[in-house]
Amino acid sequence: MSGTVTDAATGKPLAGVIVSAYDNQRMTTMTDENGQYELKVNSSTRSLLLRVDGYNLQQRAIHGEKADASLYSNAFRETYGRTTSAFISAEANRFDNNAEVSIDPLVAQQLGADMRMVKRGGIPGMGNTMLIEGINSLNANAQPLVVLDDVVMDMQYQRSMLHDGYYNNLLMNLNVNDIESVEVLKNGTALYGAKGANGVLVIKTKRNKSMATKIDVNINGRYELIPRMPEMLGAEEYRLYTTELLSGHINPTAMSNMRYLNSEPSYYYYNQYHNNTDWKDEVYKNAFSQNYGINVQGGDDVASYNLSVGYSLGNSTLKENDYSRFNLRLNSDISITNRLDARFDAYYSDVDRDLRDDGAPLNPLGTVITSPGFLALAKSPFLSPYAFDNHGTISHYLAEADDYLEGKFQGRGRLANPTSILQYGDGRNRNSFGNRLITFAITPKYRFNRHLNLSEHFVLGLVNTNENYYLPLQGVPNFVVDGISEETKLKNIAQSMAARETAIQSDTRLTWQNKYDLHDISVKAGVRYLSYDFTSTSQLGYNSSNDKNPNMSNSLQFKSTDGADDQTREITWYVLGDYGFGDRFYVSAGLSAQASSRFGDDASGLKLFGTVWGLFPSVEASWVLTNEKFLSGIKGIDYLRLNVGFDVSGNDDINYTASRSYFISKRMITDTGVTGKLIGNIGNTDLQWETTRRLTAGLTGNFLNNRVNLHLNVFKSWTTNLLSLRQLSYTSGLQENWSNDGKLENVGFDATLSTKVLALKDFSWELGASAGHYKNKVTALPDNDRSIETNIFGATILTQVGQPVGMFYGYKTDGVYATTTAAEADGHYLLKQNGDRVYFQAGDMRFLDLSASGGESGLIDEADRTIIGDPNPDIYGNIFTSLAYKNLRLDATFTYSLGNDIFNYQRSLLEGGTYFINQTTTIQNRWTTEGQVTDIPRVSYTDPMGNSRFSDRWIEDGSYLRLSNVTLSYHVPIQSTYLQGITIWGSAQNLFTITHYLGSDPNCAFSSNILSQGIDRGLLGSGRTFSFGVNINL
Amino acid sequence: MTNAMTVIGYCLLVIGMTSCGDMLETESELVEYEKDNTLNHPTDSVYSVLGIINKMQIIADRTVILGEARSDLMTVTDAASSDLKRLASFSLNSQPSTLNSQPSTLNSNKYNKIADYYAVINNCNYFLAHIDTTMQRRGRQLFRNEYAAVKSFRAWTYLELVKIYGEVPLVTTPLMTEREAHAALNSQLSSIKDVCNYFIEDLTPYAYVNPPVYGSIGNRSSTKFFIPTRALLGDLCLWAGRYEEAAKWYSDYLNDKIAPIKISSSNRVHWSTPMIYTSPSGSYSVTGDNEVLGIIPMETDIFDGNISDIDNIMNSTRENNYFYQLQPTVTMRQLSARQINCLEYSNEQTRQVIYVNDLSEQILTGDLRLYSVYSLRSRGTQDPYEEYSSLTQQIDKFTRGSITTYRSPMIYLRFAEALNRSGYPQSAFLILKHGLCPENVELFVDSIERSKAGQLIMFDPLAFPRLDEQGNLAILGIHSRGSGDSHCNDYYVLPQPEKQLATREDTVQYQIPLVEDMIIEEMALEGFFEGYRYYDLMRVALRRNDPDYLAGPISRRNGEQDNVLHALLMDQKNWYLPKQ
Repeated sequence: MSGTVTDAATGKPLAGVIVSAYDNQRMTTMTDENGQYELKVNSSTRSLLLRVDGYNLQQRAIHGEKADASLYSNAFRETYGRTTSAFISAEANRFDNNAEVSIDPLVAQQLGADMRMVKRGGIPGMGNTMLIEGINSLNANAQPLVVLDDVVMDMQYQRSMLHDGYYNNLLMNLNVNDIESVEVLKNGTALYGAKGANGVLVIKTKRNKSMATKIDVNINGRYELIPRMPEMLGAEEYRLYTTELLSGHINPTAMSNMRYLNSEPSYYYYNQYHNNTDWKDEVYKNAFSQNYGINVQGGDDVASYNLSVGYSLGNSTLKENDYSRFNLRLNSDISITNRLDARFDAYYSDVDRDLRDDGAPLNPLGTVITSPGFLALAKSPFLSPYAFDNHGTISHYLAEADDYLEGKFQGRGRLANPTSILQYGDGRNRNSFGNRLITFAITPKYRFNRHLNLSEHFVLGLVNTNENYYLPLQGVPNFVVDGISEETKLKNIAQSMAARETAIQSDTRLTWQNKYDLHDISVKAGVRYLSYDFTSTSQLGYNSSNDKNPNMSNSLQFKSTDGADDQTREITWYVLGDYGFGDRFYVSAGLSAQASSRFGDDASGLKLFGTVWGLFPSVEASWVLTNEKFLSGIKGIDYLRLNVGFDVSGNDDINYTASRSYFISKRMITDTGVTGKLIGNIGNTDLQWETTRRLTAGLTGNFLNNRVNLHLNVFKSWTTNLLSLRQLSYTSGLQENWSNDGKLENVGFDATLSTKVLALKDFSWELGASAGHYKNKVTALPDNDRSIETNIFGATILTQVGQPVGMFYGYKTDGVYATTTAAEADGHYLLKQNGDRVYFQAGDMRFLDLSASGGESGLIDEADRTIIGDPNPDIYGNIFTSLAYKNLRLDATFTYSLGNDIFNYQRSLLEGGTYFINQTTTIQNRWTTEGQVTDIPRVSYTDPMGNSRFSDRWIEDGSYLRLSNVTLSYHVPIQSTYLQGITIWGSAQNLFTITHYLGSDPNCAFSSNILSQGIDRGLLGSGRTFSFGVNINL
Repeated sequence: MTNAMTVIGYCLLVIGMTSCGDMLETESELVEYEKDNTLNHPTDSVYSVLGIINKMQIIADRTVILGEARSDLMTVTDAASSDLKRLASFSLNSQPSTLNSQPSTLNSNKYNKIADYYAVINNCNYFLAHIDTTMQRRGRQLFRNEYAAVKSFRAWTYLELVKIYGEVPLVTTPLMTEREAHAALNSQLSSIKDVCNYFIEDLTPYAYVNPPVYGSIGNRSSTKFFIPTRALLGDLCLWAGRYEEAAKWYSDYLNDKIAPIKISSSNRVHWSTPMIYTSPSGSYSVTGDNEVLGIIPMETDIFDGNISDIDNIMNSTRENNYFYQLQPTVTMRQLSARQINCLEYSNEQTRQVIYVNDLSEQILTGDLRLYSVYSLRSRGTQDPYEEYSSLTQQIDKFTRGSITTYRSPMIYLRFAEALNRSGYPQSAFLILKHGLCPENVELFVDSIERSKAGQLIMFDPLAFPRLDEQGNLAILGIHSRGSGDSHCNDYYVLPQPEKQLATREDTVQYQIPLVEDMIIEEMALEGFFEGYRYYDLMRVALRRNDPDYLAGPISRRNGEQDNVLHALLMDQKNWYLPKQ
């Protein structure tokens, strides 16, 4: 056969293009100077693979005995692969020219609709939550499995940290520069047994590819602006607000005697209470970060290596949340004999941080508010961070906690001085965090012959985490906490935590592959053993004598310790087979059997060798239609492939000890060192993994001379045996334990369309977009489908059969009663504990009385709640474009999410009109006089009418479109002996966001917990970021 | 090549076969898995016994609250929690009107968690099934005392449980998996009598085994942490309707050879001087060490674990902003005021018996025990903006560190109830009016009853002398603890038929219910607010098959009869809490 290969931009013939049969690289030739080639192929060969440096590779169907092709410049995204598999996956692999400290935001930008990613917060490196193909678990982990260089990672999703609002993202330990690719597996997860139900994220790090030594040096810097903040009341406006809160709660004479209300400038305390402080200036700043990296690749035919060293140092826009990271990676490939080779990888990284609590408090009167970020908004602007001396002049000493209120308001409502928490909490022994990740992997592989090899992948991984916490005495009010008598005044808190996880993985695998004419067969079979030992200890104590003693010590009061000792052992047997028929049909089938120490002895699975095995089969098939004769010649259709698959996968994120019976000890009889031993749990021996059955179908097509590229996937999944807390039989003497009960369904699609708009000689322009959608539904729940209400930060999350997961369940409002007449006309009331009715008045919210038919008319109570929001988006994805002109390149990515609701918890505190915390300027519209028409109700201390309760007032549309990234890069065309090239780049992130959302950042998720989706608890948002860097190739 | 394959194949097979179960074994430093939990060392057994006590701490408050909030002696205040209100109004069975089809936690009530009782039971069952009773040291069975103590913990808990729930699964083997627990849940239910009969047999062999000696724990003597087995056997027999046996166990326990249980004649509140009826004399206390025979030790600081909330429910405290949740009812006040207080006054010249009636203050009229332990005071001038209650209530029947399980006057009263139902009303009444001692038996019990009752009322004369060395009465009737010198009270007498009845037995049968009423009334006067009342009414109502005995007083607790509540309580099944 023969053909001509041209350049798609110029139409000129391309010489030197390697042309080979797609399914058989042994049949290969090269184009001549006219772009022409001739190649002898088997009659079964239906397509060719064409590749040459500087161009995207291409698969081309043979029509008749001809196959002409025009190749596009590699400025465009790759649309073809060297091999074809039956699986559906998506890959992100452009990680150059950025200053990100963690891979998460880059993956989010590039994978768009393939995975829903939401940011955990604005502190650098906290990462994103991820959902692949909808939500496949309620209470167990719903985040994908991360496989890093074939190592099954425990991402410690459920581990809590001492600092409120902080999340230990283990992906932050990886250097972006070390990563080759991140692939999302949407099906074909049999290899991962009971771990694959949430999809799999396969991360590969760079390995050496050539014998020539290459040295890459990366230097970049990043400047982040303070994120959007709510506008708060000024000093006098806030003073007025407080008097409204006080009225009715305090004797008017006592009120007139309050120091802070005396407006006589000659008054002794005047200066102390007449400042105009913008506390945000005390707590937030623009932040600068820098990254340095060097990567050396090289080797010979015996050994080759990729060595990289990186160092990052950065600030957060929230003061005293700075970080540094050092990392070192060696990936080497060693050929020991001609039959035996080995891979040896070693990795070390060390992340250090300063930390402070972040986020709005759960209950402002519950205990002391410790988050400087929230205090910066909540703190009274008429106070100063600095104390006044007895002449009434300001000093350089930091002010104590709020003291402007008296009597009953003085107790739990006092706010700390955030400047003091920042200053006196500073230090490695006070508020710091460290995380070290060490991995050694060795993979010997013995080849018996061309077809058969045996490999062993042995990995030892260590993750060490330690954290110190100290809430200083200075500037912090006395406080109370649950579990310690109210009479006891606490002054400060010291905590420390140390955690260690040792992971051992052994994967022994026998691989056989052969080709018989059209039939390409490969089979892998093996056994994987996984062992994770996670131990942690933490200590907590109160009332150290002063801020010079921030450490845990025996002199602290109310000391307590906590810890975890969680062990998991797993054995998975697997067999995977791939079959290819020519270059048209591909079938993959796999089966794994997993046993785990977390499964109960009576779980329903295969009982063999003294334990229970969960069985996880999967089968996938794909058909390349364009390689069929009947479609090969059609103009406009360059490539068309159909995929279909069915998987059974599991989720083994089962409580470590729920299937076992055990005893616990309890300290008792007034701290005398006596302990009682008692039954802590009776095992649910039936406990097992959650099972997800998933049907997937996909279509991949390239059209109009490969100008248009489309990926479309649809899926439907059914999850059964949901892990849920179920009430135990009362005869057990225990309340509840984990069991398998409940079902979920997911259906959805994702689609990516990209077009090569312009392909000119020096200029190319690509434009594309993706859209993802999922819809899930709870189809069964424990205890006869009993709905479950979960309270998270004031929100009630309803889990109900027939509804999606995570619905906001609260009250519907209809404005504010402008007049007494209007309020009386409705006659809505609350019932007090003693049965008395309290009627809503003018200035109160009008809550809809939805249960009027069932309950009493006019009564506003729990029965009036309804679904008021859905945190799941209708559609999400990205829009991307690239422009390349010679060596200059401009990339831009927009990300978007539409139709998701957010519960703005922080706003409910800052506009609730309930506590002595500063409010946003919106509260200026509060109802104050009869007849006033407004949508902000009257303010009232502790809100007895519940005007600020969880209602649709706080549910906002979280839709947004954001210009996530713009990068302009220029490859300086220098070539010398010492210098291979220089790339200079500059980029900007979050340049603008189009949204109606009122909080700092609509892209927010404070935890991986699926039920806390869409709750904005006021963690630091993302600001606009500007980065600049240079990559030098030596 | 083939050989290599075979070797590999075998290797893989061996790896797989070497019992995967063992490879999946995990350990924990934080908890002790069942397989590692042994009970063959003294420390294990001590810690396990303490573990049971830890679980008893959780139900301790309920022994008081469930018996009192549902009774006719106490009523809820506005400040009471909704859980307490629903308990007091017997509305746990019905769903509150505000509840629509949405499920909610509204159904749960902190005072109704049946699993807490089974927690004690299951820990006991585990202990009893696994303790190595054969282990001997110096010829002595090492764990016999603990074995017996745990048996009585279990029986006591079952009696509490079945009194609350009416019918319960009787589980006596440890349930260590949810499968077993579920099977037990569906087993046949046992009634109060079934439960009592089972545990009478179960405990009898251990009636005389002393509790273990743990010495002082947390500066407290641990001897009272255990249940007095014979008193418990008396209770079980009393509820089972085995009165003669009940009387025998009580008698045996009170008249113990080594540690006879006497009630101090000085622990009373009384008038001492005629005409001055403003401030009674005497020190009446129900928390004294010599009267309290069994306790559940409680933590004193919430930081240490399970504390009692009784203080915050019954009394004005800083923690509850002085808003107490339970207060005495009209019934209680009237019951107390209705008693005829008698003062035997003697000076050098005269001896006179004075009846102190109709004092200006109701609380000082009649029995003085309520006055002695209960006070309601105003906090003085009030700022209307203040968040505190303007009244403070104080009930001195509780201590922070413990909940009483057994108190001697109450055992005496139940002994009286057993004697009365055994056909010995004179002996029973003796306990109320004069106190039980051989000399009083001789004086006030006729010879027929004396000979019939025999050993039951024949206490050791050395241990129970009528007079002390100074010639004062050393033994008093329980009624004298608050109603004055009842031994000379002519209004406080054994009921006699107006006309002579045909036989002596007829007289006895006439007296028994009337004396029983007096005993139950005395139980209220002595044990009010301590959690006995509801069950005392229930026991008699069941015995007489007369639901009104319980329904009547409770539905009239606030004066007027609450007809809805009365109708509800006339149905015996509403006496018990729903199992949840």
